[in-house]
Amino acid sequence: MAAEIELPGLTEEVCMNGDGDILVVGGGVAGLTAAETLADFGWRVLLLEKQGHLGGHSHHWACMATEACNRCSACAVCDRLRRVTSDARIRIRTQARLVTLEGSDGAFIAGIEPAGNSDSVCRSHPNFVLTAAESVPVAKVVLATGFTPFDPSELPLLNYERFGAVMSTVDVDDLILQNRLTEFITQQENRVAFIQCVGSRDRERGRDYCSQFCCKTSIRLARKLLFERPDLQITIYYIDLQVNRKEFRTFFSEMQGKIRFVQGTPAEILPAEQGPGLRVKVFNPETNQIGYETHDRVVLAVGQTPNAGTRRLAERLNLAVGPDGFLALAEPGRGARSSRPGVYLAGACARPSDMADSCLQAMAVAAEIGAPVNVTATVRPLLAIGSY
Amino acid sequence: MANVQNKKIVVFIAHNQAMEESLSANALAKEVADRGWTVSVAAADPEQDALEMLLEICRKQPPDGVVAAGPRSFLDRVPPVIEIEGYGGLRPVPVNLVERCAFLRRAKDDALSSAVRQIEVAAARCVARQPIEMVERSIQRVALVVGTGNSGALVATHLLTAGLKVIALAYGEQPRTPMPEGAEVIATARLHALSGFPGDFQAFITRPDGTLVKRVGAVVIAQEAQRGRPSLSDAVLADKRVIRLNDLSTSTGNQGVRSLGILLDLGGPESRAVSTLVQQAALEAAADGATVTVFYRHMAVHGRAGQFEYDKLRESGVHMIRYDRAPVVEPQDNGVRVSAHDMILGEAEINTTVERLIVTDPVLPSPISSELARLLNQPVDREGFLQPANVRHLPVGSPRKGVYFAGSGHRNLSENEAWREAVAVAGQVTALLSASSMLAPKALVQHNREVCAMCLTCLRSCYHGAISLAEDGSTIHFEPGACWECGLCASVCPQRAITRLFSPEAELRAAVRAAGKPMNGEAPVVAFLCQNSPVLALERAGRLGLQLSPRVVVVEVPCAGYISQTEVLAALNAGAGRVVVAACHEDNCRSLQGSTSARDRSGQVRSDLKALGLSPGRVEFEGLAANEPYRLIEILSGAAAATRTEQEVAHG
Ligand SMILES: Cc1cc2nc3c(=O)[nH]c(=O)nc-3n(C[C@H](O)[C@H](O)[C@H](O)COP(=O)(O)OP(=O)(O)OC[C@H]3O[C@@H](n4cnc5c(N)ncnc54)[C@H](O)[C@@H]3O)c2cc1C
Ligand code: SF4
Ligand code: SF4
Ligand code: SF4
Ligand code: SF4
Repeated sequence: MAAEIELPGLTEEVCMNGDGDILVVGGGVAGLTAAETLADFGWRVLLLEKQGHLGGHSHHWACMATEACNRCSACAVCDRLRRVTSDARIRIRTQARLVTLEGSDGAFIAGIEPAGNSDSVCRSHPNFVLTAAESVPVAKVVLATGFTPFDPSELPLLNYERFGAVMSTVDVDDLILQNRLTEFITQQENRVAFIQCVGSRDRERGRDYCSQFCCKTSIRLARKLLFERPDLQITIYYIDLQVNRKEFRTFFSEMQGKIRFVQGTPAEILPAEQGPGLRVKVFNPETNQIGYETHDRVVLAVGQTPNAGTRRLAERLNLAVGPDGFLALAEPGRGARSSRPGVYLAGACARPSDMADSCLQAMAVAAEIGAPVNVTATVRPLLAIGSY
Repeated sequence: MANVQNKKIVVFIAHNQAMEESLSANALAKEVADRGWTVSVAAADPEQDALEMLLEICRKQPPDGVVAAGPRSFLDRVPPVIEIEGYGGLRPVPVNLVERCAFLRRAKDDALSSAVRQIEVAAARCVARQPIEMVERSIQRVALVVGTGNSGALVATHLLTAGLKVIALAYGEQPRTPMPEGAEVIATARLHALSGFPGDFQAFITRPDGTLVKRVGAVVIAQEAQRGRPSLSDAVLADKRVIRLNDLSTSTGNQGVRSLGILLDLGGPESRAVSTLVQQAALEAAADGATVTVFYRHMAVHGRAGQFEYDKLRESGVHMIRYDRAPVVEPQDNGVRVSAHDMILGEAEINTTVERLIVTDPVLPSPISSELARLLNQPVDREGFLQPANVRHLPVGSPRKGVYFAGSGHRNLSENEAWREAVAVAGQVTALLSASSMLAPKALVQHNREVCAMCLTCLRSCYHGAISLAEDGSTIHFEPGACWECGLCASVCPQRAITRLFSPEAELRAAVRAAGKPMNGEAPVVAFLCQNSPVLALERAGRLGLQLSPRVVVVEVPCAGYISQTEVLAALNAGAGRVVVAACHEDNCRSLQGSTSARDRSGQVRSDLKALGLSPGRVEFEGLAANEPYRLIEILSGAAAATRTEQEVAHG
């Protein structure tokens, strides 16, 4: 039982309401959303993040706005971050990991430890860093440990490591974030290709799923590139375009005349036979033969793979892992419960998802957990009043 | 500085170790004290003590204004309103010393002069700031669900489970799907107006026998999409062998069919729900021994099982023909002929004749979406679906807090997603209504009925739903519980009938004067930054340690909708070399129109300057996201460099 354990310094922090606290593991968009919603329900939340700063992957994605916002959602995580760090009901520990989870639903004891990585600590919140191991009684656990972007060097034929002109969407996002898009391509070059589904929809490698976000990411990136360099000739090689999201069909049809969409993804990238550029091997339906097309830059639309630490985490916490390596849900497609009662999954740790989906799943997790029973009367925090 | 003498302003400086590396709290305190303000300094590690000290100072002898300066980790804990008995709510003006002063600049002197300057701007604000009166308001634990389709029923079920009361409005005489037991269903009803605030709305409902008013805490608009007509000729659609997917009540309806064709994507990429349904129908028919051909353009694969289903389809012997141009469909005596070009197989036309052809109906917005959008003052998205596509409110919210969207009438959903969404929406509603009361300001704007011309410009521009028309149409009401302080109403009113109380004009003017004042003979750059994007970007730039000239002085505003020509010109008049107005990108503004209105007004100032023979380049507008710290610094540094050059040229 949680209450029987003596925890120096923690006694007033925990069990503020008779139901205990909730542990959220992972500070990406899913973890932040779950923490925020649960706090609104009246829970006290302990949010753990392995890295030195919050925000997860989305925090590294660049703004895709051109004439107007193109709704990539990346900035939404900054908004959420501000809200979570200023919410007194949420206790945050960074550079922290969950190592053990004893007990059962309603009365878990979580063992947390400093993660001991050398990752840089957020300069605004050095006080969030976990410095010593703790055991914390919690009622429920939400895992929002996210994903790892596919490493394209796993596909040697794409020569990602060999050619500087072969980049991943992660690399291009980073250039844009740093306002260095001019370095992406020289003024003399203008042929750009995107290859979709790199590391996704690949049964041979056990990745028999669509990553959901990468078609939209590439089309937005292409639009951003065209906005900066209207002379670019952009080709997107795809399997199926997943473009049926809010407003995205319109966005896609606007881009149809401006970007060349070619069905079929090249499996090999070679140096040009002469002069600059790269050759990609494509199937040409008109000649019914394998041919080559030359581009100056090739961008690989990398997908989501299960977080590198998933298996270890699953072993430690005694959770099931699905055939594709993501954490397994008790009821695939529907609920948010993991195979262990009292442990819930939100965001890309349970299934490939874009940010909007990750948020939605996190909200659903919070809703499944519901409000604490013994919550006392509360006054809702102000809606409007900002600080300026 | 005028007025300061007879006002008591406390400047509270919290500091931590990280700050001390480039900015000394004591040196700063000395500079500030020289300006005649009361200063207190406290260590912010741990923050709690510093905060306690600040609260104590405020309560002991309420000052006229308080500047709370310190690192973000401290400011995060400072309440926006400090309630003081017998005085009202004091609103401290925060200054982020670390991310915006210390971290941004490497030279110690620069950090100090910039911090002093930002404190001056904040103190000027304090002088004109009024205490704010707060009132406690009740919260209704009732939700109104508008729509009784699949999502409406799901949301209602989850709301009831969470212990809330549910009222469901059915447009027709019967709910479209059975509503869960316990929900109060009002039939032949339509929502006709909504006023009040999140937690306590008044919903005006019209029925054939009159109007009904219900008090509800939250509203869920749960509309389903409607189906249009496939883009095929009448003759084709009239053929009995051409079946519209909607008419096929169950996929087993294909039993006994020997050759089945399924034609997808005619009206653009198919919705997720349709592609799942079609995949199942194809698999079942194939298992039944039929020859199945699927004509498609893009196959929507989604969810964890999506790819698996798709692979199964291809492995089950179903012919998959991916077309480039829309196939031609011709009913013939022996079946329906579909002629298509396969993208992979090239030019040769493939003619397939099937006994039955399933076609899909395009997904269209709900027939009442424009009506609902109008009454809620929420624009529809570019495709006519409900809910504006603004990432600040997606996936289920809206600028009108307390109003949520669910169902295929606002976005494309598969069956599982609809289920998850319903749970999520119910959760958002429960979280909103889980508090027992809400503390709200008594008033945030003042409306002068004498000069108001009832043009309703303000009402239309308030997407937060804080302005409503009185029932008899004689006047308008402002609801402080719903107001987000965007200031748009005051800036757009042609009669200037609206006065902001949360940050009165005098406050902004004082801040602008302080910010625009030349320092050591150098003309500053006044940067109006909206707190929803550029301010976040600036703080991130600070964390990244980017360099910014101390010439740049920031005036933070709750929303760019606030900035009018007056403020921009006042900054130039005070001596600013340049003015930068940075706001969210168009379509990313939390209040929807704030940033575009600021852009238009900055443009107006530019033309005015030109008419006066001054350089229009002195006023710059930039759309900016929170994740563009490098770009923000480039813009601000560019403005600083240009100002310096101009000054050097002017001085020979
Ligand atoms: C190149 C690229 C571009 C993208 N662009 C877009 C886009 O434009 N729009 C969009 O919607 N989506 C985009 N996505 C997808 C988006 O990044 C994901 O949907 C989103 O990040 C998922 O959020 P999450 O919180 O589930 O996971 P993550 O963002 O991965 O966050 C998980 C967090 O948990 C932490 N963590 C992991 N393990 C542990 C542990 N054991 N203990 C403690 N903490 C742990 C991690 O450090 C991390 O901070 C893109 C993805 C890629 C690869
Ligand atoms: S494009 Fe993306 S990051 Fe930029 S404003 Fe829009 S949602 Fe935010
Ligand atoms: S979203 Fe597009 S690129 Fe990404 S895996 Fe799916 S089909 Fe491939
Ligand atoms: S300040 Fe903004 S939210 Fe408030 S009433 Fe005016 S327009 Fe509406
Ligand atoms: S915009 Fe001004 S004049 Fe018009 S209704 Fe509103 S307050 Fe009255």
